[in-house]
Amino acid sequence: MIPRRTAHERVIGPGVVPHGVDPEHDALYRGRTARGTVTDEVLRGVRGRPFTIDGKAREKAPATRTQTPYVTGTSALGLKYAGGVLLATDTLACYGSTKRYKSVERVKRVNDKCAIAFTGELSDFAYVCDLLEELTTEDFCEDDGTTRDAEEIYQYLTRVMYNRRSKFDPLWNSFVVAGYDAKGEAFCGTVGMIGTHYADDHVAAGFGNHIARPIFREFYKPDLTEEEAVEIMKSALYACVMRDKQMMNKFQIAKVTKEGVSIGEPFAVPTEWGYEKFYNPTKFSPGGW
Amino acid sequence: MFRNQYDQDMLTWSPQGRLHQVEYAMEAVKQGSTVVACGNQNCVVLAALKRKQSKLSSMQGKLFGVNERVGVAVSGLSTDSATLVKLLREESVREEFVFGRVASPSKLASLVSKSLQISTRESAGRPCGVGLVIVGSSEDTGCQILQTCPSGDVCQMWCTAIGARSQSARTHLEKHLDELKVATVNKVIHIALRALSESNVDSEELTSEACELATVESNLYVSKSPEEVQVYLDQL
Amino acid sequence: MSGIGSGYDLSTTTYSPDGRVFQVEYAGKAVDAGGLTVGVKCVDGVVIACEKLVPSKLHKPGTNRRTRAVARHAGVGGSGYTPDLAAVADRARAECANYKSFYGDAIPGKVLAERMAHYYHLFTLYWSVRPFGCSTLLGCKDFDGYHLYLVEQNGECAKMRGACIGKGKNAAKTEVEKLKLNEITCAEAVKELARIVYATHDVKDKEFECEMSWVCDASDGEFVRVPEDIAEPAREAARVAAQGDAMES
Repeated sequence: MIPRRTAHERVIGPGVVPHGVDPEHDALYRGRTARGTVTDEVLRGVRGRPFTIDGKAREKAPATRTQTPYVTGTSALGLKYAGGVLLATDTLACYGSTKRYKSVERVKRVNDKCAIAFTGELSDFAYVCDLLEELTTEDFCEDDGTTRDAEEIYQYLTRVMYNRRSKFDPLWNSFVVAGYDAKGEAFCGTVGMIGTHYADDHVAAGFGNHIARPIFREFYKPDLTEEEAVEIMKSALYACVMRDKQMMNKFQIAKVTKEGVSIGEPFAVPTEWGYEKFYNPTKFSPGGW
Repeated sequence: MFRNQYDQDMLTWSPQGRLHQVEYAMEAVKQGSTVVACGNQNCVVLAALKRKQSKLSSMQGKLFGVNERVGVAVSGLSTDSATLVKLLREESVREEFVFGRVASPSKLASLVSKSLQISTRESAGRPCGVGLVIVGSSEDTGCQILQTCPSGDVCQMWCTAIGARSQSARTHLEKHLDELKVATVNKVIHIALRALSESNVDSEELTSEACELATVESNLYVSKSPEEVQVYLDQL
Repeated sequence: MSGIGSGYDLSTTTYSPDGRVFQVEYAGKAVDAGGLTVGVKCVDGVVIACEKLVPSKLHKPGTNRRTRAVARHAGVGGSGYTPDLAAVADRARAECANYKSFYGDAIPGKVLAERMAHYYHLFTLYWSVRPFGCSTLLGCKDFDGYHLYLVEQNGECAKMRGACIGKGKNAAKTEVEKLKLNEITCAEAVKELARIVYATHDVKDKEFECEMSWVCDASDGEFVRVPEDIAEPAREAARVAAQGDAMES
């Protein structure tokens, strides 16, 4: 996949290779296009050919698409309570393992009935935001008294994600969708990278699925007040930040209520790094020394 | 209606700024038998007179369910209506697949209107000679009645009647407009059936065989069986 | 109209001997037959008002709207053949969405107006399509403030400070010209436009609704219908004034 030499000739313009500069490539093109035989005369014309990657290498390898995410966010958590739904994330986007972008809002308000939080590739999330923006603008223009609710957004995202995975070109994200459904009941669901999805009273996407959900399971009850829910959320975030190296101690909690979506100010939780195991990581490990 | 040189195709504007071909297509709607729709926020009723091609044939259906909470009644060229009903059902399925929710009547109506409008502006084909009455409900808006015509116009109505001799049905509905706004389903059905009988040929008695009835209530479209229709007719 | 019946007026691809394209002019007649649309650009926004004729009592008021948002920051109102109006508004929506996805920013008023004009014009060029029978007023907020554009059925497009299309446009135009467009605010313009719509309404057409939308500071730069608590008093005052005029004459 090495870009080939280019010539910046005035007649042809920059980034275009004229005939003759690269005999090897000319040979590749000669006499085998769908539109008929390409002769030297044609190639010698002023048209040249566009700057391109190595044609041969392309033929050898199958087409590949995004196979590694670059800038990523980790866990996203969602929890229902009596008066609405909470969403929580940290504000970090990592470049590989580097804690690169530390003030990223990983929650998006979709409309008054719905907000989403993401894990995974930041740029793919930006793309999904664009899609949702188009959707809500359509709603706005239609002005027929209906808006898409959280359940519809959730279903839509599963369709988008599954569609992309079926093209072998997945969007590298999973989402937590929070809000209200058509009947006016609180809704909380998660959508995975390949379109897997489920709704529950509490959900978590990313690594937090393993860390936060046991806490949610233990403490969740349907009549949680907002304060109680925030406390549970904070303890879950604490558990995550202590165990997840991609997580940072700066969080945002967003809530969706009947009044709409509000995304809270960033905050930190008190952390404790004085555990004995942190001083001597192998102390209790069998076979450690 | 006289022939003039501006009425040969739908791409020609008359000097008065009219599209005669489209207007003629509107006349085709009046060739169909009567359809009545009326109701309020909580329920809507569709009623239609059916016809048969010959004594040996069965009755031609006029009411079609689109999804679990939207139904449509057609009047005009029945073959044209088949295409539109198919369009509605397909869009409804698509919407349900993508958003997990059945399509709202207003979205479906504007889709049909788009398709109808395109057929009046391009030389290929002709305008659909059919009028639709789309009824249904959604959580946000309650029950709705929408009427489309071949020009692509779509209107939201309190109640409506289209098809042959529908004027007398409309007059009847207009008289009962205020009553309808607070009526129960049974009451609405009675008004709809009376309006329908106003439009019946030579004030013949309505029969359960020639009459089709459907309701939308609590977000559910229900098509009534002839036996049920007979019960309502007996109550009149 | 010297060309009527002479056979030069049957297609958009036919010029008359004196160089006119009659089909496009006839489509303009459809615009003139539709209810009045009037718009003004004020210091703090744009207001568009429509005289929406209500064919019967069976129609639901407040629906079947003639002013439509095409993006958050832009909307159109128009006169003429209503299905065409819907088609043009749909196209405008697509243009807005397309611009947004390509350039990542809201479409400027000028670009949108020109793209709509191109669309109109396209339909005057080929025998296989017909010209649209509607003209539109476009209200828009972009990076350098509020704009009102008039986009006509023949593909012409102009930036306006005040514009009228449809039935009674000339009478309405003289009224709009009397307004102090350099200093008028949207709140005042709502009253004035309601007055103009009611005053120019032709009594032969029975029922009508005065539909008003705006894009202004008060609406956070979004194209929305004028809130009822502002629109309804304006309509009421206009209704009273129009009745007073009718009594005098």
